[in-house]
Amino acid sequence: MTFREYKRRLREALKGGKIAEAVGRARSSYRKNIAQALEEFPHTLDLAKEVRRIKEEAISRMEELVEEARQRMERNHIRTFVARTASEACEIIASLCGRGKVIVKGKSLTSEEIDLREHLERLGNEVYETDLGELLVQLLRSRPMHLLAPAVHLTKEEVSELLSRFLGKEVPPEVEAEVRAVREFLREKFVRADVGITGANVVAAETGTIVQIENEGNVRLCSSLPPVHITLVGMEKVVPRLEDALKVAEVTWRYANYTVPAYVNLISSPSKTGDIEKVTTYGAHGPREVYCVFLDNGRLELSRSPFREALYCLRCGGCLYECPLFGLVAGYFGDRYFGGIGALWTAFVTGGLEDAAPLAYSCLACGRCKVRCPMEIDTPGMCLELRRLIAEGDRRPS
Amino acid sequence: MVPEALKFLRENILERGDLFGLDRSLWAEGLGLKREGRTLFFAGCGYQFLEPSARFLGLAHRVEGWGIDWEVTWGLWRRLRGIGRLLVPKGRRNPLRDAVEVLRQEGIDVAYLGGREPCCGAPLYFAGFQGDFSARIPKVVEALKVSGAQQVIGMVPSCTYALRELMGGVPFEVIPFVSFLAQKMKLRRRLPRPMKVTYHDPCVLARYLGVIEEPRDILRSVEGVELVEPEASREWATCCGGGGGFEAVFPQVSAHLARQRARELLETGAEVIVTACPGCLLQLQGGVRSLGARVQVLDMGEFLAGAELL
Repeated sequence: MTFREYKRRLREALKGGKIAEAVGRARSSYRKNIAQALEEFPHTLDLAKEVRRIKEEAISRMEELVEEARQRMERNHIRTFVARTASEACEIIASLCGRGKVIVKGKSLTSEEIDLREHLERLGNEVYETDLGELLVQLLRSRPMHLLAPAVHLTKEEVSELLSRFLGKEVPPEVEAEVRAVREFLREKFVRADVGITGANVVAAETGTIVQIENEGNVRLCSSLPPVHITLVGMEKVVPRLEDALKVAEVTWRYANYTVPAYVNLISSPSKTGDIEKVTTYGAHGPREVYCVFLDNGRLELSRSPFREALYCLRCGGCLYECPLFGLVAGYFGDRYFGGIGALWTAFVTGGLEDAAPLAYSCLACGRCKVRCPMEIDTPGMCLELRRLIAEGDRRPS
Repeated sequence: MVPEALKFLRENILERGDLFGLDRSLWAEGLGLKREGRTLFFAGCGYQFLEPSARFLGLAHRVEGWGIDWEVTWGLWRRLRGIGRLLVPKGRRNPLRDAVEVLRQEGIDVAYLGGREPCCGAPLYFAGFQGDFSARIPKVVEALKVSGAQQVIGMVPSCTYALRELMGGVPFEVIPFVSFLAQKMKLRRRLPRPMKVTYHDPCVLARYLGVIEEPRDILRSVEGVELVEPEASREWATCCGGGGGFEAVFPQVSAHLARQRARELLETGAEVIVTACPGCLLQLQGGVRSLGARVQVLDMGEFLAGAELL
C-alpha cells in the first residue's frame, strides 16, 4: 500500500465519525471493565511481570520449544507441521481439508495473516467464521478491525441490516435477537462440518497442550464436533510448561477484557477412550484426527532481531483501545495486525518494510499503548527504530 | 518511503541548523539575556518557531482540505529555497518571554545562547533519522558547553528528553522547565477570581520523562485555581495529535485528534487549559478553536505571568 492509498483510506475512515463513535464506546467500556478486573484480581499485575519473563525465555528458545512441542504432540497422536511461509501453511491445511468440504472456523488472527479462508474457499470449500464479530466481517467481505473485537466499528443497527439482508429475514436491531439469529444459522453448520479450524492462545511444549480462551463457545464446537480438527498457531505462542501456559492465558484473558472467560479449552490429543479392554481407541465423541500447524512466516528471523519484543505480544488488544489513531480509524491503521504493534508485524511477518512504512509513520509515539501493555512492549520505541530502518537502512548510528 | 514532510525537516536541521532555518532569537529581543551563566535556558525550536509552525501546519491542513496531495506539495516546497521567509514571525508575543519573566520574578537569571542555540535534533530522532541525530550530538553538546552552564532548563519536552536521555550522558544537568520551577517557586500568585483550570499532560513530559505532579503542584499553588482533571490524564493522558512529526505528515488526521483531546479537556468545565509543550499548545489551540469554544489554551509560563490579568 502506498502512502497515498493509505491516506485515502484514512480519509474514508474519518468520514462521518462513525468509527470513532463505535471505538469510543468500546474504549470506555474496556477501561471500566479492566479497572474493575484488576481490582478484583490484583495479582494480575505481578503475574504479568512473570509472564513477561516467560515470554522472554520462550522467544529466545523459540525453535527449540516448537520442536519439543511437536515431539510431545506426535506422541499424543496430534500430527504436526511447521510451515515456513504463509502459502506453505495454506497448502498444508488445504491438503488436510481436501475440496468441497464444510469447514467451521474459530477466530484466528493467524489465519487472517495467511488468508486461509479465501484459500480454502477458492478450492471449493464452504467456510464459515463462527465467532460473531468475525462472521459479520465475513458477511461484509471486509477485514477485521480489532484483534479481539473484529466488528468493533459496527453499530447494532448496521448489524441488524447486514443480518437481515444475509439471512433473508427480518432481524431486529437488538443485540440479543442478533445473537440468536446467528446461533440458529450456525448450529446446523457445526453439525454438518467436516473440519474445524481454530487458532491457539498459547501452547505448552512440555505436555503438547493447545490452550484456547473463548466466551462464545464456538471454538469448543469447532474443536470437538467435526471429525477433524486443525489448529494453526504462530511459533511465538509456545512456552515451556503447562503452568507457564496457564499464566500466559490468565494475563491474556484479563487484559482482553474477559475478566473470567466462559471457556478455556486445553487440547492435548484427539478424543480417545480406553474403556474397552484398556485399548486406547482414537475418535470417541470428539475428533479422531487433530493436526497442529506451527507458522514461522518471518517469526524466527524476528526473534533474532532487535524487534524481538514484538513477539511477546499476547494479542489482548488492550493497546488498541489506548491508541489515539486507532480510536479514530480502527483497523484502517493497520494491515493484518493493527496499531503500532501491527506496523511491526507488517514489517517482519505479513508484509515488508514498504507495506509497513505508512503505518510506522502513523505512530504518534505517544506511549500510551506501552502503559497499557501487560508485557510493557516498547511499541513506540520500535516504531521509531522501524523508521530508522526505513530511512537509513541497516546502517547503525555511529 | 520516507514522507516528504520529514525529509524537509531533516534538510532544514542538517543544512540550516534548525527546523525552519530562520532567526530563532527574535522572541528574546529586548530581554537583555546574557550568553553565559550557571543556568542555561534552552528555548528549543518548537517555541522559538511557534508562529511559523502554526502557519505552516495551518497551510498543510488547508491544502489537504482542498484535496491536494500534501505529500506532493511538500516535495515541491522542499525544492524552493527561501520559503521560510514567508513564515518569519511577526509578533513578539511568545510563551518563552513569559517563562523568562516568571523566572526573573522568582529571582532567577538565566543565560540564553540566542542565535547560537543549537537544534537538539530531536525531530531527526523521532522521524527515524537516528544516524543523523547521533552524528550531531558532539556539536550540540559543544555548543551548550560554551555557556559554561551546569544546569540546562529545557522548555520543549522532546528537547529535554533528547538532551537528557538520548545523548549518552551530557556534562550538565538537564531539567524540564516545570520541574525546575516547581522546585524554586516561592511567589504566591493569585487569580483575580476563582477559576477552573485543567492541565494537559504532554506525552513526552508525562510518559517519557515521568513529570506528572510538578505542573499540578505549580497550578495548585496559584490562589483561585481549582484544578480539574480530564478523564484521561497523567500517564493515561490522550495525545494532542501532534507527536513524532505526525502533524506534518497527516495534517487532517492530526487536527481530528487535536479536536478530540480538546473536547476531553473542555468536558472538565475548565475556563483555562494549561499545558507545557509548544506542540500541544498549537494543537489544542487549534482544537478548541475548531470546536468554537471560548476557552484559553496557555502554556505554563504564559499562565503564570498573566495570572493576575486572567
